[in-house]
Amino acid sequence: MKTLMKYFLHRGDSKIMVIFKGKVWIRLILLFSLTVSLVATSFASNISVTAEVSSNRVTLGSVVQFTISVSGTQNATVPQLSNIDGFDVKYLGPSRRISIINGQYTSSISFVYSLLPLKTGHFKIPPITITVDGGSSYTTNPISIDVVAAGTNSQNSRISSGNNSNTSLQDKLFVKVDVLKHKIYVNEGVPVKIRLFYNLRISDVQYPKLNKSGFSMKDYQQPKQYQQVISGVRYNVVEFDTIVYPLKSGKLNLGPINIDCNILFKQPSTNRFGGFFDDDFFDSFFGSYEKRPITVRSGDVILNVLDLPEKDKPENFSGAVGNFDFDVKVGPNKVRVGDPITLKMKIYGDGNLDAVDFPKVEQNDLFKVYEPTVRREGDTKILEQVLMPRTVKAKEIPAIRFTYFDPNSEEYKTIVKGPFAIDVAKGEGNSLKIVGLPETESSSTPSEQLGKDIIFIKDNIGNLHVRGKHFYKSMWFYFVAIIYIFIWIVLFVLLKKKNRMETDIVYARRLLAPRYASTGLAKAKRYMLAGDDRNFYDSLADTLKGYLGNKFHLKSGEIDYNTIAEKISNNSNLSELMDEIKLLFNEFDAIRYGGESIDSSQMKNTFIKVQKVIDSLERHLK
Amino acid sequence: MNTIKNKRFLRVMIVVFVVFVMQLKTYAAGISKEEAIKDFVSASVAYKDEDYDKAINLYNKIINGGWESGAIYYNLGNSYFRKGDIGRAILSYERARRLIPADSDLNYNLRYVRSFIGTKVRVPRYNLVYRFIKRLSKEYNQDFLALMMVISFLVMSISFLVATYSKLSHKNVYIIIILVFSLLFFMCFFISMYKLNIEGNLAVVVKKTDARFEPRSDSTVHFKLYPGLEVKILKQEGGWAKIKREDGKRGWLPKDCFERVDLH
Repeated sequence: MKTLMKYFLHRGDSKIMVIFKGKVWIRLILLFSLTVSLVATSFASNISVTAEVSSNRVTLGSVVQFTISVSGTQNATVPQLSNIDGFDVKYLGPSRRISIINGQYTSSISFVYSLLPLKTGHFKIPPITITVDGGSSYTTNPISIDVVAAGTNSQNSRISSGNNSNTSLQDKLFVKVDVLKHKIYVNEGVPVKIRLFYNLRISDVQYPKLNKSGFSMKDYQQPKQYQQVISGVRYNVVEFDTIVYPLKSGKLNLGPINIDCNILFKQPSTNRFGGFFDDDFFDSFFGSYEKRPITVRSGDVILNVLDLPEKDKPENFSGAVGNFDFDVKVGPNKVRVGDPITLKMKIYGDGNLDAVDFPKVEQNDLFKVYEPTVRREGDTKILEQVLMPRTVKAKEIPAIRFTYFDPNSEEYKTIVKGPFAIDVAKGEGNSLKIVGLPETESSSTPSEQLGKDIIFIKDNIGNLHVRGKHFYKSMWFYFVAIIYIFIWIVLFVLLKKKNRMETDIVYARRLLAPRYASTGLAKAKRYMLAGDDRNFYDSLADTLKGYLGNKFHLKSGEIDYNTIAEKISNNSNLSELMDEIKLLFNEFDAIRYGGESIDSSQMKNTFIKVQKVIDSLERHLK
Repeated sequence: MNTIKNKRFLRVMIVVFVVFVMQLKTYAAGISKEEAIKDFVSASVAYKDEDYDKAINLYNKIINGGWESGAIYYNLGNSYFRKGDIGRAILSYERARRLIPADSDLNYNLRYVRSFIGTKVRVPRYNLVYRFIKRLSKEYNQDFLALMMVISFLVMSISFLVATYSKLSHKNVYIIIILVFSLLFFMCFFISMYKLNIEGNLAVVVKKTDARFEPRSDSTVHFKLYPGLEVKILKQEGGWAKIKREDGKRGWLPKDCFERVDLH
């Protein structure tokens, strides 16, 4: 085994070494397959390169397929075939093939080209060198091809090939350019007719491309299609019409004019269905056409452009050449100073409108003129401009002259419109403001450009005060705040008291007792002064009893000395007072039921006693 | 006994009041009012002559002399902006805003100058109540709020007294008046408290600087601060202050990098 290993290592294949670590029978199978592949490789090293064409005879207007085959390897660079005399070459791509026949392994690669003959005659494809396996070069055998004119079949082409040797693709596909004017001035519209003639199958025809330096040009009109016979050959024609405007004088070349299109070719020798299907109809039906892009070129088209005559050239001529009409409208024609008047000019005609300038309206003392806006509408060029009368002296807008050169009559012509009378009234106060607007502001799009910066300083010092001195930090504020707190505390206490008076009868009676007592005493005093002793004692007795009743929350019937004594007994300070009350009660009873008369000094004495009792009770009872 | 208690209460209140009054500083001006006005006029002339250094000096002289007004701070802010000192411009505008918060020129300039700050700090979206208070706090100054509080309290008290002690039949009207004015009072009160809290600790960065994690100059940099940014001072320690940026980020700054809006 080790010798085998050494053998394979000697072959320099490191992968094999890894494989040979399996079981014996697997090793045998691998050995066998390796042997086969080695043999195959040794056969494949027989490299051969061949070149062939699908047909040695080809008609003009069809293509021939050219194949370079490399057998024995697939490692070959793509040969570059650019110039083969009489043909246009297009590389279609490679095709690879591997085959094992009776154990014989073959790999090959083919490079396929499509050759388009450009003219009739006998041509030779030169030997082509191809590099294989990154080093060795092989050369193909040369191939000769006969190109014959279309319409000649294979039999009589041999006879006529000598006569028709100068037929080329150019005869089947070409461009003709007609300039339909000979005396051409700068900026004059020149009609140009471009026709594409063809009598083979083409598709995807593009618009012609002109050499535009020194010209401006209108868009193409819709192309026309028709057939035409030229020297016995029927051609299909596509016609493009346009107008070009030379922008300078001298010899100008409009060409070469290029038209891009695709030529359709029948695919050669893919004849799978036999003669029956070898037919244009089936070909087109099954789409076996090859598209090949081609650019059809015209020759030079020289225009001899003349300068405009200097003779009689008006001063205000602005370059308009052609046949024009000019119109001016002004409105409104009754305005105030500072109001806008719109001036509308229209130019229409067949000249180059791009080169036409409108006559200018000059700014003066009477009018302020704003930047005009100009637009195109088809063959009409329109200018709109705003004028603003500065004073009431502006009576009319002066006449506007438009001058152009008519190439047909070869002279300058001037159209004059106006002057336009206007009626300017005195403006309102704000007219000054409008007149003062900046010159550059466009009347149609007044967009405001705002600069940004800080606002200017204040001139008024405002409320200058000592720094840090604020009302909210001042004594006054805190004084007011504290007063408020007092007020609310007082309010709170008062409210609480009021609330209790309304709900707590005992409290209310006791609280109101001195008030009632004082009113009772006042009443008694009035009786005393009047000398009404009976009423005096009655009211005095009622006052004292009422006061005691209120104070101790008693019903009027319950008020006698014993009940009161009971209530007061717990207060030792009042023992003296109790005797006083007892004496007073007895005195009241004696007077009320005794009927003896009383002098005024006694009445006063009793009154003072009652007052004293109520006072001391009020002081001590809480 | 009751009267004694009342007397004691009264005495306490008087002491409290006196303490309050004692706490109030007495502010004295270093220059006369006429001089201040004269300086203001010549500063305006200097500004118009584009001599902004002179204008700044004169305005600062008035302020250091113990006088202030919204217009002085406003003009000072303009002068600083013309000199290119965004930080001090915004500082001056903020000082002006304590006095004339609803001035449209001031608010325009402040907004405009703020657009020159080197960075944009994303302000978190607060809740509705907070935004409402913040919005109102920018409209009115403290004096106005104090006056409103005094007036609304007076109206409220009178209405209360009338409603309680008179025998009028339309008591509902008084209740509504009381409710409205007490609402006004408390709104003013809260806004005033908010302003005291915010403005009292508001500072403006005047120097481009870094906020650090610790009050040491070799500490790790947390975030950058540009002149004109407003920060809230949370704590001061030595030469350092802990600040909060508008987006809630906190860090330590050297004290010379910012200036308080409230000068006291």
